[in-house]
Amino acid sequence: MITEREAAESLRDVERVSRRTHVAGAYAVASPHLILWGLVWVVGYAGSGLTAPEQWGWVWLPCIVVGSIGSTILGRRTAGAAAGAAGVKNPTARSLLMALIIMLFIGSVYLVFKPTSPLPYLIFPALVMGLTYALIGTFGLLRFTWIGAGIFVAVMLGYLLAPALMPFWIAAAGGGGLILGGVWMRTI
Amino acid sequence: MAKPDEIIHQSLRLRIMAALYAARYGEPIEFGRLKALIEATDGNLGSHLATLEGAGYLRLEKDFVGKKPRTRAAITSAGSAAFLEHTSYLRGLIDSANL
Repeated sequence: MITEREAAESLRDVERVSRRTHVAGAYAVASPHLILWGLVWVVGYAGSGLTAPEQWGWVWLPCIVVGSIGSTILGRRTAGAAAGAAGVKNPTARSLLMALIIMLFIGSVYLVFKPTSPLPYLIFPALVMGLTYALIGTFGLLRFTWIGAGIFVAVMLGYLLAPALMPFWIAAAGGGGLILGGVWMRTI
Repeated sequence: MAKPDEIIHQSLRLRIMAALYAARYGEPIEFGRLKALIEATDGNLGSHLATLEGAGYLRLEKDFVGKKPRTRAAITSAGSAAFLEHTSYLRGLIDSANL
């Protein structure tokens, strides 16, 4: 005979394990994307550090194209797992839409504020991505918050302490942080 | 009226079923990952999985990744139905006590 108290405890167990499973599934789906975009950041920002600001568009264009194609391929491979992880339908299309919205936002900010030095062109996208990951984390995916906050803090520390080294600093701390974050997400 | 399921009701087996049901649309869950998800501390996970497999509630897939053996578990449709029935029974028990 199952008592009311046992039933309540059992249902709490079910709820806790279900939530952990959904979160772990979401992390497993996100992990290869984070590693991929970490590599894109390493190449893009290091390339920016080695070229003149006028050339940055040509450095980043192939990086973004390769990253987007890679994300699409990864998204197709993990579509089933993503659906199982969080009931997310069409995760690739959602991710690409989110990336497009972020790029439009960043472009609009540049248009309105018209940065007078090259540094904001490097720093602002990294800060926005840090903020985006931190916000994603507020939907019960706490590790995203840590990764986003880590990127945000690292970028700001670099800006305040060594602005001349920013491209290489973001390549190492931001790109490296994303790669480490991706590896961390595999550990549950 | 939903009925209790004596096989699923055991605490660890209920957690196994909860994890597998939550991941029912995805890939089967690896043994080590399942152990972490359900926070199993004892060494009896294998025997509980065998019991649930014997009841037809899950299927175990054994293969190799390189030279490493891998065991993965996935819930069956009978397992999903039994899990839903059992959790429905538990909710009914609480609801009737609160009336």
